[in-house]
Amino acid sequence: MEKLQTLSGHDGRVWHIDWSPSGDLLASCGSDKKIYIWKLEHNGWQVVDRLDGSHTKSIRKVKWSRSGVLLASASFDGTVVIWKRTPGSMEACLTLEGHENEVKGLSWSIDDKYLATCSRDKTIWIWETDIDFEYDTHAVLSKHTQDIKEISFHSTQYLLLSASYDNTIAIWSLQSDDWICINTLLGHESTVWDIKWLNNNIISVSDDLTLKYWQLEDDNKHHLKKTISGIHSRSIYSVDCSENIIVTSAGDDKIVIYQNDTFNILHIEENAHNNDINAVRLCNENFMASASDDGKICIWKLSLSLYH
Amino acid sequence: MLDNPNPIVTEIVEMTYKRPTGMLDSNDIFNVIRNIRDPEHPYTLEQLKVVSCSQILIDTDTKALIIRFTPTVPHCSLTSLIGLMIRVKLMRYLPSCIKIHILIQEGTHYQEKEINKQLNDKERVAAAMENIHLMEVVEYNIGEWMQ
Repeated sequence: MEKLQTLSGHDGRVWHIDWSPSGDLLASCGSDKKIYIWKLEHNGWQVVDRLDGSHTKSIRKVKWSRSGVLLASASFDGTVVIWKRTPGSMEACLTLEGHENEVKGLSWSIDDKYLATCSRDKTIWIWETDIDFEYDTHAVLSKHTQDIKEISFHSTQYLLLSASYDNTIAIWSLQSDDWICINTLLGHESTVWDIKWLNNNIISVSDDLTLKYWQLEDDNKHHLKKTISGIHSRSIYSVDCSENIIVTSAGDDKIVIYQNDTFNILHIEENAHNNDINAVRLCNENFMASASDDGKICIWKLSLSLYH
Repeated sequence: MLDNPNPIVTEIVEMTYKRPTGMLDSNDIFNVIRNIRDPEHPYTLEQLKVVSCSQILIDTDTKALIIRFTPTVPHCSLTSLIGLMIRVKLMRYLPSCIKIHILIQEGTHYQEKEINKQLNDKERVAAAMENIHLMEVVEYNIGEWMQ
């Protein structure tokens, strides 16, 4: 694993990063209430756009739509802004208001028909769009007893995961136009910070310093199959996965790469940043970005030897 | 109605300690937080024995600073505010790479576990620090203040 470039620009903590689906753009957001759009130019990753003035408080997450045309930003100001990618720039199109306070997570459904958002107000809002680019509230889901840290749509089905400060993960399914909680996963002993689908299975990371793997079994429910502990020494904030690997980042300034079937550790990058690493996102099997409280974003090249 | 109408106030003897080298020690940390004003009474956290030097732990290997504090009564409703004040004040004095843990002294509050979790959730802390009304109270109490 090799650090290719350190991107400076944000003033203060970088909360999150997200690659556009084609991998040509990287969006980042932070406590400076700004969104940066980075692009690979002949002289490395450069800022191509700086989005400012749409949020009045920290921007906690940014997520590209599956089509790559839209970008959504979630802020502590309680709103979500939808940006549209046009040739050469990003334009703020819509502000979604509804949550009572901090919006902490976002996820787009497979066809971009639904955008899910979650908040400290303990609810998940499902926003539905139509061809006129209007967004209506499709549902407001309540189940968690504390703030919801992250949500994640399945890549092929209308299935949604939510991870909460209440230590649980909920699985939601769209059934005849209603979003039903079909299962609650108990096992983490503290806040669940991030969750991902790994095909039809689930991986989650937590303040309890563990990475957990939940497998879909014959009874059509997810069961805890594996707990990886003793790797990170502080709260694990982020997890991502690809066909071959899983990667985690934490408050111990480390990035860890695991084989995604055996969970064997392939690499530990100590001091990957000078402070907590809030997010790590794989672009493909070769590149990855990380975002930190040190105000920096790092671009990493993953060597093929990792996989053998 | 005050949570604790009659707090015990301790007489403070001025510290004459001077640290010999460049390393931060618990006395330095204590000097930063001792004069934070209690949100309920016109005394400092040191006078009310909410904080003390012996409750400060520095682990240089892991860049961790662990601070325990003792609410004056176990049902104190301002405990999370006190914890937040300690954190905000320290964040302004210390390099940002230091990992600050703020914990209630074991067994001194009915909601110890819940409040500890809240005080050390960086997202909740960050959001609290963007709450103007809450920060007005924090700023007032952590500002340079003497009896």
